Amino acid sequence: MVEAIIRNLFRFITYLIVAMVLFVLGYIVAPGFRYIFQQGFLTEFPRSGMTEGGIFPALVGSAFMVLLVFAISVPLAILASIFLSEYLKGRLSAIFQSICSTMTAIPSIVYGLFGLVFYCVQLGMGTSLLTASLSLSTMTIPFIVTSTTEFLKAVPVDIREAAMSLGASKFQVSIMVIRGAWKGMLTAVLLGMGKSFGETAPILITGTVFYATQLPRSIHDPVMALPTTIYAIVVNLGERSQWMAQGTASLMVIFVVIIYSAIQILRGVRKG
Amino acid sequence: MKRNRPSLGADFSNHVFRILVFISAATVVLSLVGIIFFIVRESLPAMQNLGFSLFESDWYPTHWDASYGIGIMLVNTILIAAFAGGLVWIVGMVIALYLKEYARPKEREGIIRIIEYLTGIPSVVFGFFGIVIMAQWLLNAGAWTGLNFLNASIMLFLLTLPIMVSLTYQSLESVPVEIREGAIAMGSKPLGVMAMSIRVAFPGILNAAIISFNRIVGETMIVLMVSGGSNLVPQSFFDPFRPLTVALGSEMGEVELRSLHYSTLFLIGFVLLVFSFGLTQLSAEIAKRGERWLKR
Repeated sequence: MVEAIIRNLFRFITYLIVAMVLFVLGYIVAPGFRYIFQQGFLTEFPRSGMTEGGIFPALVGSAFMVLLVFAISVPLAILASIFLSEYLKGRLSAIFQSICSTMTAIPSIVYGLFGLVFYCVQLGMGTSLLTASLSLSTMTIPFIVTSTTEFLKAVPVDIREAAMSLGASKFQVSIMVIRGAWKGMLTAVLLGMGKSFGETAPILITGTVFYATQLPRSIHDPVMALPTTIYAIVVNLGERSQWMAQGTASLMVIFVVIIYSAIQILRGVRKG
Repeated sequence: MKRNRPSLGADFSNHVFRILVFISAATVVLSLVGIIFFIVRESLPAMQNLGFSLFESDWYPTHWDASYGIGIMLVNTILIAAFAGGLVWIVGMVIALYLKEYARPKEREGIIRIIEYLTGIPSVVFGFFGIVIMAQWLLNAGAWTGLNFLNASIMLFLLTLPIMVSLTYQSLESVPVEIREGAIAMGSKPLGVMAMSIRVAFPGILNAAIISFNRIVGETMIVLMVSGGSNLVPQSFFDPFRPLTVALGSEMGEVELRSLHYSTLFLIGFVLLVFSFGLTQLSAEIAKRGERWLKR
């Protein structure tokens, strides 16, 4: 009797929350959906105080930023995680791992502060695309290392031993291990990119502007980005600009759903 | 024989690779050192100037007679993290228990997937939802302002729910079958078995709560957008408030470089850093103790 009550109560709460989640997702995507396909939304500059036109510069800025973060953080993170799983042993490995998990827990705004004082002021890069990308990379690298290492460590020891017994060097063994774990590593990289795509607080204070009339000509120019555009419109601008924030939010959620669907498909492949 | 020995080329690439992986790992360690060094260096002037007056309640950084007290903001941060964190802990545990104990495999798969999509939603999008939609509903429901403690709590709840559910579910999943079977053999009813697995998985569940608490303390965009921003301790769920991260998000862009205000903002960053280090250490400690507890 009590058991049945508890079961039904738990079921009710679970389905209530799932319905709430779907409702929130739907309510973000649906109202803005039609603006995405409106003439010029993805290809025009914003006009008349962001009440007309499109979000082209923010789209380009975000794309550049994600590409730069990818180029900086993925090689470094993968090499660092190989160092962690293949070269370090025992205590040192545990220490390095705890350094990475400590860094994963640091709030993103603190990475923004670090980016501001180190890349922007100390190294003199100013408020720029480069500063923002470097700040995001500093945050993304330990995140990717932590999840990639798990997959590298899950590769059976037999593969390493077999390769070594054939006379393979450490380099060749590492290549074998990467081959064995590539699907997991791809998910880790996708997750990291998804995270840096949506991250707002650090780039808000290091490299973005709310309104740009031209595209950045080099990596030393500040840029517009999708998440900061949503923030700027919602907080600073009036009723007539809100549709642009709706369209942008809808677009970002669609991107996220695509990334996570890809991750779930990848995981399914691994199981089968 | 000759083929088995690494050639000069292979030896060279091996060597270069070793240097490359070492440099990459060193970069990670150096960036942590750099973060601590620069945040501390920039906040030193404020530490020296303010001393313990930092924890007073008046925050008027741009007033002619400026005062930099983060007391109220600190209290607000702890309040919101305790409330939203507690809410997500209870609900997350209920969902994880339902998934583990009662859900059919297909059903479980579906629910996990839906909640996982939430993981990727950028916090600025939750902030957008909070301002544009939730605030309107709260106003219609009779709140005097739509941007308030309750609104921020709901948005932070949605932000941290996926990580809470997945971590709790994992730790319930890792409870050895023998313990459950043992409990059944001793005549436990399903509820007793559930209580038993909660008890065994408790270190993991506590860890999940600490991680969500940490996320809420450091979260900037949601509170920046929906907290309402007034530097008061909220007296009800419908009052606006202002946690620490709001000061950083809203004032960092306009502050004069190297001024006392600038340094105080870095000091807030330092406080956040201390929070996150402390909580990470605590959760590592719990994980270690938990392991020992299971082995005994």
